[in-house]
Amino acid sequence: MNRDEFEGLTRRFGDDAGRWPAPYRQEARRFLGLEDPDAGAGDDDLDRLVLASAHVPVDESALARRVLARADARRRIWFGPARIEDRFVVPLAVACLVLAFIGAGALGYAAGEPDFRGTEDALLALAAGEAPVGLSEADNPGEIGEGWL
Amino acid sequence: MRDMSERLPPDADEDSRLLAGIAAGEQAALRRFVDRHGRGLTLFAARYLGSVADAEDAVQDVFVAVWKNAARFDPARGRASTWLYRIAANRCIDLRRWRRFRTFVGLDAGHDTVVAETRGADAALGARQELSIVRDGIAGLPERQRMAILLRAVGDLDVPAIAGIMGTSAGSVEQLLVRARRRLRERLAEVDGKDTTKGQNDEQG
Repeated sequence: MNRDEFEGLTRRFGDDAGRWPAPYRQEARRFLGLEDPDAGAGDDDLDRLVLASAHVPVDESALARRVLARADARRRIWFGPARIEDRFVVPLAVACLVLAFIGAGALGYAAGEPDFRGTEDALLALAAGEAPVGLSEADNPGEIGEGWL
Repeated sequence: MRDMSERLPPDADEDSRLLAGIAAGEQAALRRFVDRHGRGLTLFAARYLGSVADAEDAVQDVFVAVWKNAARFDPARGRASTWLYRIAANRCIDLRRWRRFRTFVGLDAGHDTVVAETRGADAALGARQELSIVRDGIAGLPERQRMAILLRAVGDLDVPAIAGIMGTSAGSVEQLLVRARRRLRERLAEVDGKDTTKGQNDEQG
């Protein structure tokens, strides 16, 4: 931080650097040569190094624009499609796939129902010890269930 | 909204007043709040997550959460900055878990991009080598140590506030800070020692 930056931040956040938000507050403390009473001398130096190493360029006005756009969109959420958050995409895709399998199975069963019904009736009749439907003794004079047991 | 303004003490800090405005739906208050804390949260999230892109997403999520939940902030229970960093820490933990899952299923490469992104900038700006060492050291810290040291150094939060954010005791936070600082010092000393040895070898050679 240099004198110009310090004065710019003073206009932005006020005269009392102790009330500035972090990390401007620590940077101002360092610029003004003030010690942090809560930290030991060595720890304070290391923390300054950690802060300096954490530097990445930040465009705060662009960030504010994006946040306001999202906050505004949240107000209109009932009037448009909601954006799916990234973390929900994979679980949602898996759930859709499972639903698709279940749906395909149900449709397949419905389409083949006439065939299944004959098979089911035959199995039920066999379990009850009766002649399967459409298979009278005239057609098959043997013992009921013969060949099965 | 009006209730929250009534709860504010007369000497309430600017952040508490801004949160009262945000709770009342004032976009200007949100803009000012982002202006005050956007940089701090981005530095914290970028260094914790190891990715500037993830950090930008996380910080946007945090401010949208603030916009939605500002009325839930109670100035009697702590400072606004502590409340804000708690939201940010939780969001970063969620994002990190999600990224770990994506890496596990092969959707992400799963490497620290901030270190890679800033190495070139260091060279261009002639930044000190120790910053690069500390940056690598932070990336190599266990997650809780990394969070504690970043909340302390970037967020300028005291130990009780960090303990509140991390849901642990002040003693545990002290331990985390001690261990994190020790590891960073060891890393600095290690590289310094290598450089000294290299210099001696060069002189002898």
